[in-house]
Amino acid sequence: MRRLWKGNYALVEGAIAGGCEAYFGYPITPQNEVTEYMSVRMRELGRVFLQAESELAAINMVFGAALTGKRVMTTSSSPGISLMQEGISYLVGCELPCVVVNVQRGGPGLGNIQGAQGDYFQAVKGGGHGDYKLFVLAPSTVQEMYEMTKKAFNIAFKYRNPVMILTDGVLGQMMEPAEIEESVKCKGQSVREIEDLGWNLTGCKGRVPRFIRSLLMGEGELEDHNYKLQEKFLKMKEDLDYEEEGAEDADVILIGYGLCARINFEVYTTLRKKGLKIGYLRPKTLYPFPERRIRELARRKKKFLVVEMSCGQMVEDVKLSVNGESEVYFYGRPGGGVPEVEMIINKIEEIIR
Amino acid sequence: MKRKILISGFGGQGIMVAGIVLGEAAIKENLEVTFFPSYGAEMRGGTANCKVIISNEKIGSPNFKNPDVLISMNQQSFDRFSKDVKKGGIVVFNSSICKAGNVSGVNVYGIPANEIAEKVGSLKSANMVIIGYLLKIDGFLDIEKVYDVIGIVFSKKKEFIDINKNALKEGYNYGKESSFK
Amino acid sequence: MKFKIPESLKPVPNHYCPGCGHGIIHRIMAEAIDELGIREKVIAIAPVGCAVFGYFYWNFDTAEAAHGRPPAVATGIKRVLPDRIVITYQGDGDLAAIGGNELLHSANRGENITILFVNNACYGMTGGQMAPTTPLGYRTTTTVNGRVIDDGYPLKVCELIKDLEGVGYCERVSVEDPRNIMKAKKAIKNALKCQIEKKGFSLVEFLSMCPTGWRVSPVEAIEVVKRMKEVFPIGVFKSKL
Repeated sequence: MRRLWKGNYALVEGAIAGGCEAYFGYPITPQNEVTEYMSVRMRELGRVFLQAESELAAINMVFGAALTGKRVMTTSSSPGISLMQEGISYLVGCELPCVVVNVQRGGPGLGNIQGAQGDYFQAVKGGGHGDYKLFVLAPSTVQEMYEMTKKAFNIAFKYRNPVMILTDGVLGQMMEPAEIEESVKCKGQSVREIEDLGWNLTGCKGRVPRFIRSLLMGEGELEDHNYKLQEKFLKMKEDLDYEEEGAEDADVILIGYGLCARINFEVYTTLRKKGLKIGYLRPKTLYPFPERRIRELARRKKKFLVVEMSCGQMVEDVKLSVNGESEVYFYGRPGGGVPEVEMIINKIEEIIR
Repeated sequence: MKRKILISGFGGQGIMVAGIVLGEAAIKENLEVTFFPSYGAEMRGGTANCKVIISNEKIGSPNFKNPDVLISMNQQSFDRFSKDVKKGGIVVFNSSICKAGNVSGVNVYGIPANEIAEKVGSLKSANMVIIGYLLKIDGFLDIEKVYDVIGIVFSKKKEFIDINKNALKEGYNYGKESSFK
Repeated sequence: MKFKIPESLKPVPNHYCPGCGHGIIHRIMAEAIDELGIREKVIAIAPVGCAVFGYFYWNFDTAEAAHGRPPAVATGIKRVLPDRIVITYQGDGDLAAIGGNELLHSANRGENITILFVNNACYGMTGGQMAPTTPLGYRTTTTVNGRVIDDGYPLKVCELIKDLEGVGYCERVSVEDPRNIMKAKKAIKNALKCQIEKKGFSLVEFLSMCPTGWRVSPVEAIEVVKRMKEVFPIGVFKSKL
């Protein structure tokens, strides 16, 4: 049944439906509802909830739980995610699966608590030290806050890599109709039995002891490890996801993710009604990025307008994908500003003219 | 059909609940809806507001600057937001504790929501009084659907269901009886 | 007489410097684990510091943690696997400087984990810089004329945490001679018993030798540890056993 759901609550239900067995978090606006609701839901289901003393501690508690092969998650917002970067780098280095949610707010620094998209680079280009990638999902609706969080755990385990859900304060705070499985509301679902995944630490009963580390000092050892990781990051393309409408016959294609994609869609429908050949493309995964599809469209000389709640970050990936084959334009607002339909329409009219 | 509604007032006046009632009723009519609350530091100091968009098409951003409809539950809200209302838009205000200031190009309606609410049994239902009144002025939602969702929204506070339904009805009837400007 | 290698230690040579205390502490930790029969339940965390390669020597499941974060990592493990025995092995920089917050809060939560804290009064791995536990007057590569008050006072970890309600066992020992080594082993067993009996957070602090960091001979290092006791008195600070 469709009911009004708040994005942050839908995210929690998604995590629970995805089998999240442990949650560690620290309060920060605009994602406090996640930590609060988790404290209720995880405890009533007999799963693990702990409010950490800092984001540093939270991500390292995630690291600890992930070592054992459990499904574990943390959530935060931009400044807190910055604090977690060290831990995320270690998680990737040690090939540990987990889910990290960034309900983005305005930056840099303490910034503000409005929704923003200033952490795109941090999310898709690594973020911490070393050569690495996260699998990055970008929900656009409250329904997707649920669906993508649910799905994120399987992806994390498939690749033994952290998955980041990159969303923002608007999607976290807003409510809209969503269909959330009622079955997960029943009590008494507890943590699954511990299983041997071939790599997890559970105590060495009946097998030789294992160790998990990211320090590789032997000659060439770290280089080899990096090649192995890179192969994995490439393989993630198997789970690439995007949606598009009207791109085939479009002159100008709007590209945006998360909240901006919703605004783009409104622009797209408005202008199509006026007979303008506008297309709409939304990456649902930010890494891997739909670069092949964008290049294909660029070769057919379609122009692109990238819309972001930042001064322009994803636009760089669009430009890399287009690779000079066509023109790429940008419209964005940083620091919590939300792009308006009218401004995007003006920009398109400029491009067409 | 598209309405951007800003509901604003003191914390405790049921601002958020009013938005949720409109939202759930919109779902009953198979309309698209978004609800966006003020949050964090914005909520400190006792004011609250929420933004509701109801439309028959997919909704982009749930946030907006210029509402079609302002529901102003106190004076501060009227003073702060009435100038943002779109030309030809509607301002409904709680005349029990709020006076209409000077605004041009919009339609302004007052209702003594507190008195009516107290009469039906609880001052807390002033939010429903004003929702009822709004829907008489601008029938973008079927009032019957709103009655239906009150039972759902207040399912954990059963004693308030009837009071809120009555408050809604009184507000709606107040609209029937008074002649609009 | 031939020394038998404990099952909890791998039969491999270690990389520690002559006169270093880590080898001794590894051994008594391994013996304590064997004697309690918990090897197959142990999940240990190696620190960033000289003992980072602990997993090459310890014959039980081990992970490595970021600098200072072992108590948080241990918390994550213990919360999802409460019947496993979770041990962190940390140096003074790791535990008392960069990891001070994780130490304080895991202790205060009464996290049912055991911390083996090796205090050798310097950063051994990075070349003998001042540690939070360096006594006043001690020369290090960042206090070449000796630590002065401006550099801060030596941090007394056992004294700091003993009054926290979550702490179940807390003892300071030293490992410079056989008598003290035997006492240290007993302390480890007590700390692990505290965890097994779910009596809360347990910590053993070892005053240990770092001849390389201190620029002294192994024999002189023994004397240094004896002098350290004037600043860091040994003994049981708390026991709920």
